[in-house]
Amino acid sequence: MATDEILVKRAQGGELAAYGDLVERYQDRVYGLAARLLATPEDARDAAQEVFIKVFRALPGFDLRAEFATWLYRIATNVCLDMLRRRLREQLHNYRGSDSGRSNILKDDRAGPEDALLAKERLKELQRAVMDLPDDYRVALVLHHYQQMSYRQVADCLGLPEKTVATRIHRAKLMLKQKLLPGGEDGAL
Amino acid sequence: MRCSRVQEMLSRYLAGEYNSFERAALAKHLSSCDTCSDIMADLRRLNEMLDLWRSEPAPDDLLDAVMIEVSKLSPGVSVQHCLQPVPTSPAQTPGLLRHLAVAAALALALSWGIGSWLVAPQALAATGADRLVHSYATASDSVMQDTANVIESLTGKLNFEELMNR
Repeated sequence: MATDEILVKRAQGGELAAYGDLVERYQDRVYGLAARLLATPEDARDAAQEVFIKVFRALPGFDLRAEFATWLYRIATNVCLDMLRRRLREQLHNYRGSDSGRSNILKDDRAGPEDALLAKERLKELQRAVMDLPDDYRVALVLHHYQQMSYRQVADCLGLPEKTVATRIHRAKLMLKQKLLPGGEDGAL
Repeated sequence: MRCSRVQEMLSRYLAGEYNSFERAALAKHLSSCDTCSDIMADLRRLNEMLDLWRSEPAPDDLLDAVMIEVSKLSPGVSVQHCLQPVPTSPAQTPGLLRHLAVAAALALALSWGIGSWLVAPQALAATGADRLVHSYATASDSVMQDTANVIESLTGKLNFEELMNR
């Protein structure tokens, strides 16, 4: 299997099929990131598409000494945050005061067995809690926990000091603990 | 090490990012501090909860949609070329090799025949015609046999006789 670097070089040389290979390699990860940062699956899909088009446009200027994945995640994160801000403006404009507006991605009311239903409820609760985190905290947490990036990589991706990333992840977990774990409200995490 | 400092470090500690000295310092604190140990247990549970949110694969049409869009940014490149790669099924490869083998055999046979005509008159002047033709034919047969063996190993079908017939 060709490395990212080889595919990027070939894509920079105008080989569209090589870019197709890169998209195929990263589409699940980029979509997964978008799905955890945005409100709906439709937004996540649109964002993922926008990410890969932006990356393609910017590819000629990509420095091969940098890590492609980190650069890709940086663009993906920015696209998602831009989309969040756009959606927030639309929500404020369209329906001030509605309950969340963010939890559409969680609305899956298909019936299932009882235990599956309980698991689904737990998952919805978790997703709501993650979605309710401040954007900066959620981005750091999602990149680290779900995209399996180290603190260093998250810092590179977001252009922040590692210490700031560590603080954001720590605070995100403090908030999640208060919402999700029994006795969390009183916890000292 | 103070508890507030330890608690800030616990997420990263669980992620396995600290070096051995930092880990040893944290482990020492945790072994003697119930509060911090409880918080670490909570963090472990929280990580397990977070893992419940599994990733969905990208929609099936995402790749095609992206490639159609980027092909518009690359004039002269057909997206069909990217979306439908040239098939290279195993069934087609032996056929191609077989055609190549036949072409190679014909080229060898022709060069053998022409070679006999070109070389023989000059050689006749220096040596006996029978000896030269015999040695030339033996050498050529040997080359043909080696070629046929290679071709046979590639195609699994051709043999020397078939090659000679062709």
